[in-house]
Amino acid sequence: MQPVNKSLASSTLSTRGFFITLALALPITSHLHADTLAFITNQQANTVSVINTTTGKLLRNISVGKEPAGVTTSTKLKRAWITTPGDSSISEINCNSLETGKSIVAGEGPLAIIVDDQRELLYVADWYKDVVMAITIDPLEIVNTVNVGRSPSGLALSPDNTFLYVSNRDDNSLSEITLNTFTVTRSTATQNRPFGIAIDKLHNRLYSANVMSNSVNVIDLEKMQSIAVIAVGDRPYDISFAGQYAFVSNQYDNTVSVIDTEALKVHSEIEVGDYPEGINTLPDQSQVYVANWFDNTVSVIAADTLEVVNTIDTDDGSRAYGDIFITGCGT
Amino acid sequence: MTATYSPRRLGRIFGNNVAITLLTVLSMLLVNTVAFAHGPTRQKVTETIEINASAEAVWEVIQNFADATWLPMVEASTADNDNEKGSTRTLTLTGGAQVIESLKGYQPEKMTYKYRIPNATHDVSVLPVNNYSATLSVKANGDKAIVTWKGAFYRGYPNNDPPPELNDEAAVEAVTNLYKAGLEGLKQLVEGKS
Repeated sequence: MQPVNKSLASSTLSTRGFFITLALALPITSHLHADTLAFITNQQANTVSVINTTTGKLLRNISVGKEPAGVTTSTKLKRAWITTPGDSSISEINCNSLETGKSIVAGEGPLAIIVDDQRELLYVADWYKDVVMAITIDPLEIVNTVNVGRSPSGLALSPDNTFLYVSNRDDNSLSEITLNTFTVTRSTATQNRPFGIAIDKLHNRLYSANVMSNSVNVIDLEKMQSIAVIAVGDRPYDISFAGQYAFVSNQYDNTVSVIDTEALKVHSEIEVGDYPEGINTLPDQSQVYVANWFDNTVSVIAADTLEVVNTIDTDDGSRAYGDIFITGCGT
Repeated sequence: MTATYSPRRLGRIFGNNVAITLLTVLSMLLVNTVAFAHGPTRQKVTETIEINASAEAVWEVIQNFADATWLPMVEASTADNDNEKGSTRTLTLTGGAQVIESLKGYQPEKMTYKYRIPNATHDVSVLPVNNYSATLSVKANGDKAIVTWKGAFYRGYPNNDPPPELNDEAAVEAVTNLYKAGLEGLKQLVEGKS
């Protein structure tokens, strides 16, 4: 049988009047260079919420395309880039002005996105065309494409910018792309439906959240081989690291599993909001932000006490899938 | 494509044999792609109602996962493992259609439980959703009870160009109507007006 046409369904969601009113009513607070900002994509509201992490408060909601989902940020280039699968586009946000700038139509289903500061390129996984695109930043232009596995879902860069890793959700595999040649050089199998991936820099390992196996694969990046499988909560989605812990968002359990990366065992579980999705660690490693899709909030977890210390209202359908923090912007 | 794929309509257009083949192919596509579908956006519905009774009294009515007959549209209800996680209940609706639901989490101390509709045993013509999960909870508000029903789901048609009865709006509308009618029925039952 032929595969089903996977081009994106046209969405019919509209921004709700309530959220427009809310956004207009919010005070536009300024932010300082020392502050770290968080960029939270809100898929239902078609906005990005910008949070000042110093105050733990929402700065404003910015309208961006249709169904914003993926996000990546560059402190060096002072911008965030947002994927909007609903209109197959990528848009940039200037972190000083907090205004949208250039945008580009990129493939059919751009979801995961990650910026390469050194090469000044964006890498974007196209869920439908099973490719990863390389896109220049100024101007936004697709300059290279590489075939990967089916439904590429998560992206991670090696700390030395040599390799890009991709989770192929519907092939149950991970691909390694060597960036100098932009070719797939190695791959390895995971459990069922790997989605979010992240690199444990302390041990040079990659973790994949396997949505349908309720597990995490731990991959030794030297050997490109799984060395452990750790059971987590229901429908794990995304992963972030702080200190010796890995934090895994479990969509159906409304929890975050905390994994001890030395023992390779679950240390504890933290209750967060409903349908936790994108999860990220502040650059200073002090807090972990997780976006709660159902609740339209972000739960802030203290990385040392492993307790939720703040819950911040965002906008409808928060996902925050990717790297969300930038430091050093201001007006 | 804006037309529905009802057998009668397809039969008129293509003749019955072609229509049956088309339907078979369509249903195979449905079964094969549900697990991989990501094109549609997940939808959500929240409905709440205030009931003039204590939270405990309301919880008492809904706490038994096996017995969903407090819902006005449910004629009969059975479950294979009471309030244990994984317990599967079969609801027989007015008119005979059935919905099969599986208990995902049960926290009586918080007066809440979560459940899912497994796709494999779900008929989208009964409720036009896929990957449906829901949470029902009761909270005290003074001497009254607030009941909240939350659902997250994808539309009934997982691929491009859904027919109108299986698109995002249809899914949200069906779940909203279910929750409104269900909560209103619960209110009347508890307040003794039924």
